Amino acid sequence: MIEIEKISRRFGDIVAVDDVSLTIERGTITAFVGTSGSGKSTLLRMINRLIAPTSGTIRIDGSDTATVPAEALRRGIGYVIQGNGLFPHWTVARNIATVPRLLGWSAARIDQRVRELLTLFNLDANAYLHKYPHQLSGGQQQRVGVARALAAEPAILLMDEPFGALDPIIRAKAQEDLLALQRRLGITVVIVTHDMEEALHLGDRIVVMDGGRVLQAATPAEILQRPAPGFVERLVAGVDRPFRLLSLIPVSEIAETGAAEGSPIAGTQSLRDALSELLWRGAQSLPVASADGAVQSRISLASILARAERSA
Amino acid sequence: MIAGTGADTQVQETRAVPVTAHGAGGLRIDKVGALIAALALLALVFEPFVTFRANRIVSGKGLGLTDIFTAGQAWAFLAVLATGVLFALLRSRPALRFVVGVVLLLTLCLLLGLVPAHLVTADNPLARVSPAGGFWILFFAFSVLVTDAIAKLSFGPVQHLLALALAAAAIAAILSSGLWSGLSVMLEYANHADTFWLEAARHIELVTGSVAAAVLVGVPLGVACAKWSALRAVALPVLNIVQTIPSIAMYGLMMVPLGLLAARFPLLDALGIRGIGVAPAGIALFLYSLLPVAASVVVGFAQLARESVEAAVAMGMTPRQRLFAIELPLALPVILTGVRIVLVQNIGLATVAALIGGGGFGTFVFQGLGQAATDLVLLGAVPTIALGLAAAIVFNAVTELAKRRH
Repeated sequence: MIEIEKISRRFGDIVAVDDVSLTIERGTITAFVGTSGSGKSTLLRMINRLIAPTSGTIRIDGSDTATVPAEALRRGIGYVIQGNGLFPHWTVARNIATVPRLLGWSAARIDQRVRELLTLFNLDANAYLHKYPHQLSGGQQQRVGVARALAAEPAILLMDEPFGALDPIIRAKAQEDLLALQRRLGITVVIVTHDMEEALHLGDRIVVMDGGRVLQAATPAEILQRPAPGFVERLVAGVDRPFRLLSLIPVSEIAETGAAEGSPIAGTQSLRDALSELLWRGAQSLPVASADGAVQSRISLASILARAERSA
Repeated sequence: MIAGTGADTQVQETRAVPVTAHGAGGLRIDKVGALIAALALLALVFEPFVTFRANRIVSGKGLGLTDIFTAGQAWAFLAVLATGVLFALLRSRPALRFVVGVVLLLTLCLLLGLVPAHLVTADNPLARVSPAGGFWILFFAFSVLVTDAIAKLSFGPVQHLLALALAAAAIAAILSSGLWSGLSVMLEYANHADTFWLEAARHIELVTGSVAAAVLVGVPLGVACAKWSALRAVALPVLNIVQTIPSIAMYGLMMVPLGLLAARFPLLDALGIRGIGVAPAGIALFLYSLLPVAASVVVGFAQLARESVEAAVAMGMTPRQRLFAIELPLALPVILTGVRIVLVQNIGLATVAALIGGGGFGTFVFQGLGQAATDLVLLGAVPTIALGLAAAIVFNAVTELAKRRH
């Protein structure tokens, strides 16, 4: 758990972060959203003390980060930046091994961990171990950057616009990978983005910032349904708000017992997927498959429309 | 032969090089070749090939090829040179141009070696023969042909070193064969053979010592300047001013404090640290080297990718780990450029050290100036230039090889 308490940071006369208090639960993804200059990056960097707060405290699992040597603190927190920040003169293996080497792991343990991570990120270890960053594609560099951040098995992963430099298709894939990875490892992820769509997609909790202050910190559904007046409202307003909201609700939540024609849709997919499928097929209802593959329920167009209406 | 090679390469050349000029029969003029031809024409028609003097210090008169050799010999040589120059004028394969350039240079060296036997006879045993403008211009033109070919062949570091070794071997062979023994500069060498190699060693000591000291001090200073802008704001302008002091004035400035120190502390005097000699020369060269080395470190650090440095901090590297593992290695190419500049610069500057008894090749230059003996000046100047060229080539090649191993 990360507890941010009355944190401020001034650069000369400019107040970058203004008296922010926030609690980030263990094992969740929190997205800081805002325009540039909103203080979101500064707030993120204060968690691993890349930037020292002017005032206030940050506690990780109860202990004040100011009481730990900065290097030791940072070695325990993964960090991914836009443009990946890989060291160009080191191989992929050496890059990933950065923090384990700093921590003094044995060579055998490091080698094993590097191979494990490359496999986890769908990179053939033998083919990529000895490549240099410039020999990789943008998407591969990004994955190696995340692998490097996770090398020493940190409980917290900080990401500063990690997907900003990727093209839309690779970006969507990278987002799915991150979600899967976070569910699998149960780590706490804090991600900074200027893209509300990305924040809604990835975040368990969304923190909207502007002018160094937190305007609203809430779940994606709350942000969509009850945005704080003003900046947040403008940020989430727009024609596709109902669709964004539907995409947050799984089909299984409003599926009803009964049968329907056609091939089934998985209960884990979102209402937005189901709506899209219904409109495309021109059907009134679809069969729904539960996790074990059994098809005993269905989802109807009417129930989706009713749900969308109720949330507005 | 010329027409054949031109036609061969035409296809290959048009792919990469835009057409610039058309010759008769589809032959194309090479731009660099045109320069070489113009220089050769200038050298052969308007400039004397050698200078002939009755003895080593009187002023001489310039002689062209036809003044030296019989008409038949002179025209034979001219025909060989003209064929080569004509070849250079037309576009052809770089490898072929390289070979022709080397052959032209060797021909020129051979030609120069044949001159003294024709001019220095039993009647005038003290007469001296030195290469004159014509020879130097031809030498330059043919060197351009070879260098241009090497550039187009895009030699790797190993090939550069091989080419250098080949050139050194050719020069050694010419010198040891006695081909040039009749030339004035070699007569000067014969007179100074005992001190020549001592001064050569002294020259190299001065350069390596001052460059090594400049790296040892300049790199940490540069790192400090890169980290603390307050230090940079003071140190770099001071070094800049040092850089602008003329070398002779610098030696003069060194003499007084070092002389006083030596007088006060006999130990220093015994160690050779006095107002004149190697110490002030070495210190002056060291001071001249500090700015390029320190500035190259500052520039190298300024060019570091912000992401790499931030990632290094965020991974939990200490400032020291970051410096040695990330910053210095990434800035190294720029730093090495600075060191190379200093190396070549000091090889040239060290000549002036002779003025205050520092020794080196400058000894011959200043003796020659004092005696109005141009060829003695050459005995100091030519090895200095050769050393500078060789040092730059070796340094670049080694840097390139080191980079590859990473």
